[in-house]
Amino acid sequence: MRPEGRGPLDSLYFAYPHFEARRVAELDGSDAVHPVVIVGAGPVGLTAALTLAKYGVASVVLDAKATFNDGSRAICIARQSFHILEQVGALQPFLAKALGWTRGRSFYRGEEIYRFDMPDSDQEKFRPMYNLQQQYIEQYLHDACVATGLVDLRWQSSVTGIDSRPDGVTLTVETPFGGYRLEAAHLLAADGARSVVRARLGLRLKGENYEGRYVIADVRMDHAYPTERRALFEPASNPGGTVLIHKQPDDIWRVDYQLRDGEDPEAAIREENIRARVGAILAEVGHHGPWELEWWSIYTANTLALDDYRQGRVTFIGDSAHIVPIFGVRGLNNGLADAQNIGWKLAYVLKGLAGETLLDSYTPERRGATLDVFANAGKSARFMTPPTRGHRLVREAVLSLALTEPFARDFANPRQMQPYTYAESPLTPFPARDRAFAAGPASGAALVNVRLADGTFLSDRMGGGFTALFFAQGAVPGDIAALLRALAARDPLFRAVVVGSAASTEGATIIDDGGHLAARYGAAPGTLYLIRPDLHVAGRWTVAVPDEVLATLDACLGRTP
Amino acid sequence: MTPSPEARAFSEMEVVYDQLAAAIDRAGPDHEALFLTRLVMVMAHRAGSSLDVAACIAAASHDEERRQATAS
Repeated sequence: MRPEGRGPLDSLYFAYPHFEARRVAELDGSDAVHPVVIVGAGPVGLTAALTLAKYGVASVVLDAKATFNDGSRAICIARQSFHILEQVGALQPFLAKALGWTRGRSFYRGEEIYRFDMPDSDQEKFRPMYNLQQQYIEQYLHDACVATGLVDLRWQSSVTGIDSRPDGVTLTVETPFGGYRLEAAHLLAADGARSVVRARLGLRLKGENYEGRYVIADVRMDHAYPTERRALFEPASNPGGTVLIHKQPDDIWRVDYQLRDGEDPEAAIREENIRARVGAILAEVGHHGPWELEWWSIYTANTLALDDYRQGRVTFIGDSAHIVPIFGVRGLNNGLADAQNIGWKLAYVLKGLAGETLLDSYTPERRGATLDVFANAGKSARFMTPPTRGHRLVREAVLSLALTEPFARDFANPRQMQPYTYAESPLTPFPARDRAFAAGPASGAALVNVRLADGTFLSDRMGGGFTALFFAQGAVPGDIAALLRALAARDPLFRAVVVGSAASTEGATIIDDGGHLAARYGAAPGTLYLIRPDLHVAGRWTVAVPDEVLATLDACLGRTP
Repeated sequence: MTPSPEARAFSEMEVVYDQLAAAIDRAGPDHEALFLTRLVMVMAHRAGSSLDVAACIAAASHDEERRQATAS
């Protein structure tokens, strides 16, 4: 919502483009089957389109709107998502505009009780978190999609019907030029929490709704405070309700505040009430200068998910598949990881490099990530919006104890996003090999980044397909050279990265004379890591076992032995 | 102050947090003070003589005293 006299797209700082509907071939009778149709041009749908385009796979993206989402919405982008943005070639505008941050502080009745610094070091290419308004996220992804020439963006195109068959999907699409039928071999439903695709297929999200509502409001002001997450418990300006404050680019500040018990949500979102509460909160954090109200909205915390993220040729990605409380900033970030996960798998299947059974790994991997989020976010939501008198009392007790008792401070930990490990995945068939390692990312875990001697990062050396990271001493042994050739024969995008010494390893891709990379990866001469296209570890061996490495790649390519 | 012999891990404290919230809800607003007092008596007994109850009471009273000092 926006202040009186301003339309839904009248932003103080962002010029919303207007995308015209186009007259497409289907309106003139074309019944061409598109390899992939994506419903929803939000961050998740566009990231899926970009991931497919990276592998040369064209897609059609449908969106009912004529522009980007109104309001800043999801503003926290995690490090792992920056790696995704880099992989799909969209990184630069994000790096230029987003505000990186590492620190959060929690206050109880105005006194600081907890401070956290998210893991960061000079070994990381990206900061643990960045703040950026969602409409910028969508704009940058949109521009990257246009640049690929492989994404057919169709705005003002609503899905009104869906016929899902084992071998494809037919959509009914309404546009200003009339309706048409659109044939897709595969459909990605990225149409959000109120997914039309999900509703039309009769699928329901299951889980819990938490009590407690939050108002989110954006203001523009000149306010000197670093980019940190501030959480105010029991602030004088909002007694009985928690407040969160985040800085965004363009002097925009996000103020989230919890409504008190029994407070009428309809009254709470009236402009005069928003202004009164936000003004009191800003005064409490020491801002006494002018501020302008930009946009506001209201939400409740939920943990809801589909039982299965795939239904025949329809795959649900992002909020259409799962809704999580916002406190851990996992909604957007998990959605981007969904898009990347299904994106590379679908591309490999459509290019004939992998069997269709590869797609069966999407639900266990990504629904596993959602359930992991639920376990953390559920605790976080119980703390941020205590559901009962008992929870309110215990929360009040630990917060007030935190002023003097260090043990109580960890309860104020917001449990921010960590990358999820695909531990139970069908694509990691040799997890027992992890036991021999003393360091490094385990099977299913995200790549651990390392700054290399030349100032680049390990993540820079990964290919677009599978990558083998082999630690050599002297020349690469003959059986390993044969293994690397066999891997390349299975995956044309395969890249071999040989870690060795300048003096003795001919053709070494990474010179690690100090042993810095080897130490962080628990590696000795002969060690091999197989890395997936999404930078998760498929398997690792202290001493490479060629048959197992090949079997792991076969599993990752949906080939049954 | 003497802490209890082995401090509980934070993950266990989280379980305590949820168990306590549920038990307060079961007791109900009219009985929660009595319930919590009984709980402390049981815990003081089971913790054994190494637990300094007076120090615990002082730790739990600290914020109350601060609040009263601010109010007066």
